[in-house]
Amino acid sequence: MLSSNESIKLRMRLMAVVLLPVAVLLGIRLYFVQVVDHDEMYEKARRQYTSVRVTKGKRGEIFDVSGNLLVGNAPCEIISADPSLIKSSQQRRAMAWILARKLEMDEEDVFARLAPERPVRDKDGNPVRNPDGSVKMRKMRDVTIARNVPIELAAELKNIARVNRFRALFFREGYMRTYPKGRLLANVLGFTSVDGANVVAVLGVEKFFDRQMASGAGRERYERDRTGRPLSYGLRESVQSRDGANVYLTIDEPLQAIMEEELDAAYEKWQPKAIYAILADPKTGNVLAIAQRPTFNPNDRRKISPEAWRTRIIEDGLEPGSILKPFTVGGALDLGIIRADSKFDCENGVWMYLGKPLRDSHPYGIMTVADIIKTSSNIGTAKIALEFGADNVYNTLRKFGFGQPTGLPLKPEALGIMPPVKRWDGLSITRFPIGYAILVSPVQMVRAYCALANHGWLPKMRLVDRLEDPETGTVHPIPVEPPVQMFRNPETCRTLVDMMISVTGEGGTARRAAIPGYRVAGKTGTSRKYVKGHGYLTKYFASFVGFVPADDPAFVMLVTVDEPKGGSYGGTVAAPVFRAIAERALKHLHIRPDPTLLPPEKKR
Amino acid sequence: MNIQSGKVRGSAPRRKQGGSFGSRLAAAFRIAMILALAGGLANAYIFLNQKIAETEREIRTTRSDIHNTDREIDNLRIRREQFCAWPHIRQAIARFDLKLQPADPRQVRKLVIIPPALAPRVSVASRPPGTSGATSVTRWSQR
Repeated sequence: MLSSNESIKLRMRLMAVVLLPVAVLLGIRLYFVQVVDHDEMYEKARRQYTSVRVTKGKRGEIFDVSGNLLVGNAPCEIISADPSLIKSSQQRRAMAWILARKLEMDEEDVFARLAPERPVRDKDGNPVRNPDGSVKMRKMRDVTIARNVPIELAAELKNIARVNRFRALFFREGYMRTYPKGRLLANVLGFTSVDGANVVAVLGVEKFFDRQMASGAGRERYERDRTGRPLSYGLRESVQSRDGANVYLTIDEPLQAIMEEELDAAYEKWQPKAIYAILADPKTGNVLAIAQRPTFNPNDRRKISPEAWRTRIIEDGLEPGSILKPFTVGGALDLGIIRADSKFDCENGVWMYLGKPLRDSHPYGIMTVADIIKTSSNIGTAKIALEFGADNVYNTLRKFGFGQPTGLPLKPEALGIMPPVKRWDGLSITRFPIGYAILVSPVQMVRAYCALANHGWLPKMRLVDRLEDPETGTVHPIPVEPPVQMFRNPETCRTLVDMMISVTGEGGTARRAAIPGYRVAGKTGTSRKYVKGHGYLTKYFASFVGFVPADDPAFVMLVTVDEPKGGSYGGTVAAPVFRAIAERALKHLHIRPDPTLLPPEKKR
Repeated sequence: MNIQSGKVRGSAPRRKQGGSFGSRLAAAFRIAMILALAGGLANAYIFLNQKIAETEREIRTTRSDIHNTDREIDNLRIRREQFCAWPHIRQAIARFDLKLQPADPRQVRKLVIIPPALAPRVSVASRPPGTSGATSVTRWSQR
């Protein structure tokens, strides 16, 4: 029999044998948990009580030169639902009824969206079946009901949801791209689309400056309490979201509105296929207004026709017709090959050259160069070009920027067709200078006329004036690039402008472009449309391009009407539109009329 | 047989009993003071924590209000721009029959305001009573 001390010792040893391995095992486990797997465990634990919130900055906005908003971000809400939280079928029906009524949606469509389960479908859209033949169903936890809901309406719906205890409804804040001026400048501004959570720029300035205007996402990581609210003393890391840069255009909204209004009137009057106009400052190359019809409302893009989509002034090329004549004549004047009073035989309206006839709209005899421009004689211009020479004609037109990019931040840009001399046939020298068989874009034409209006200095076109960082207010101006001199002789431009002033005077082709009190210099153009395989049709481009006041121009403007009905001449169709826009633009710019040019009853 | 390790109670030397009643009272008072201080500190800690939580809640509410107000301002800015669009103004002019028309450029005068610092000084003698030395000069110029 063991003594009491021995018994105690034995029991203690037994306990030690049992407990020591347990303690060792616990120690090892503790070592692994606390040391080896520490980081992983710590991260797991932290994930339990930390949340990450992703914040999005605002996309940059677009303004006109004076800061009038053209494209902005309107606050809105995205309404979604968790159908699993809907208590009963009656509640689902009530929710569908209210949402459909308030959001102007189809009630049955909303009701279907609120279904707690939906059949799983394969790639072909057929329902997937379980082995027992029943349709495989998927539980719905997050269903989008409506996007871009205005905040006033969302507030009303929130209130209704609270009163009716619709716990399945969720409201998420967001911003939607909005165009507060509707159709104004729509083709140039372009628009964005939404692909999931991403904004995709589709067209226009929105697309060209997408990288600068895009916002940067922010990220906030914080420790939260049981209800999900951030702890005041907890860890908080955040990367701030970044707003995109604001873009200020050179466009002047009031001038743009005037142009759009007058184009609407002309579009209704002449019912053309299209009509477009550009107004630019010849000194800086700043585009002050651009408009086209047909166009679209970027706030409602469901009905955009392909005709309205295209930005015609930059994407289209047209055979310009007579509006191209001043450049060849100017080049010949500059080289001293002709003078304003040099005379050419205009062959009484028909001239056979290389077996092909070239016609004038009216029969003219012997005329001076000044009269050739005034009456827009094709034959006279062709004969001037023959004296000038093919190389000189080509080089002059290239120098004025035809066949080259204009610098406007719009894509795609049509460069036009301006074939090199080696690809010219015998007739080319009589056709190119009168604006046939070559293609130019409307912006190229305006730029070239800017040079004539700017005493022979060709500016680079500008559409964007500056970019602004909305957070710091830092402004990054887009500099005006120095213009390029076109004529060697400074008198050439003066002589050419005088000829173009006569175009809007008595006996000129564009008397309807004349504005009392102002000297208007310009040129009409009427070109037949060429369709491959069908030749020249009896459809026309009617154009007028000019500048006013001719001595110190405030602006250059081109108006082109594509296939007008009931008229075809630039002087009849386009010149009155030019005058209508120019008269109002001059008033807006407070350009005072010359009292010596006003009719006696209007002089003050 | 029950065996207990350790000293037999009765065999432990008896501690000498504390001194007078006064010293006992002082000790009790010291303990009470320490307990009161600890309690006070705990209360203060709880009170401050509560205040922090309340302030946090208020900050959150205010931030939320500011955020909502910002969104309302954004919305109003867009609405204002919509109302400033020319088609809207034109409709309003027609609706209210305002008979407005743009000014003739000959009616327009350019007003150049020269800041007081750059304005020419008028001598005190020639100055009418009650006027200041530096005057803001407006010039009418015609364009």
